Amino acid sequence: MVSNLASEQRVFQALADPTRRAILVLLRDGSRPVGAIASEFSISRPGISKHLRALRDAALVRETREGRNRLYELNAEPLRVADEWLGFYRHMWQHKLRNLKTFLEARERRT
Amino acid sequence: MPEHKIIVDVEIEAPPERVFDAWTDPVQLAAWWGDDAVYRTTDWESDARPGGKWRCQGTGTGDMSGPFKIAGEYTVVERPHRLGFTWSPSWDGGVTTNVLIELTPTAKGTKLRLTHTGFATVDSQEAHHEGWKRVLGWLGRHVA
Repeated sequence: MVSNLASEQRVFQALADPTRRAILVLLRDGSRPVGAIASEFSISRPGISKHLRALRDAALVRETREGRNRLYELNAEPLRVADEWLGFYRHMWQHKLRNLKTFLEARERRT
Repeated sequence: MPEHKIIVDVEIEAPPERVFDAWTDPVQLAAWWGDDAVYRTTDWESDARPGGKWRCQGTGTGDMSGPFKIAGEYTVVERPHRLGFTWSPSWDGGVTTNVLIELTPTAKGTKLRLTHTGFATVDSQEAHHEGWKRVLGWLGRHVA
């Protein structure tokens, strides 16, 4: 679980930024070259490249080549991992609260 | 913007004061937080006042193989009804989320509601797009 959490964390970190979410929404309609992505935003081209790198590290986008163009396409699959990550916390808290209940109720019975 | 949250409820047959103290007393925390089957927590520190820090270390068995650290800061300390703290585990690479414990007295003891918030969110208008719906379905399945 801990080792998976590193990649899950990359997904959540990638999603936490509004520009990166907007890039994902843009790519939903099909793959695009970097220039076309950058033209949709008011931030600098290097800035967009940085966001794309974060998305690529999280495997939320894939880079493909078409002739001399580098295209970016959406890969939504890692979001399933993000969902499992929330599931991990839900499971963890349920487990912990059960422990707390057992601990406190045993104490109550003793006193 | 909808927020991603986890809500877990539990009924405990002990008064709210006891439940509250079990969350803030380092000795009690080490006793109930974790178990031998999953992991054990040690080295608890807890300065239970607003702005005070808390931390612990853990060593796991099996899937939860450690060691790991969890730390945070108390944001709400209202004994015996509300306890809030930030949550920064070593495995989350510096991302901080928020936990709120709400305790309501009942005839048998205490109703405890834990709310864990601050996870990544997705803009609501994006939800209307077809492709994003599937994505939101994955993300949103755990929203209580």
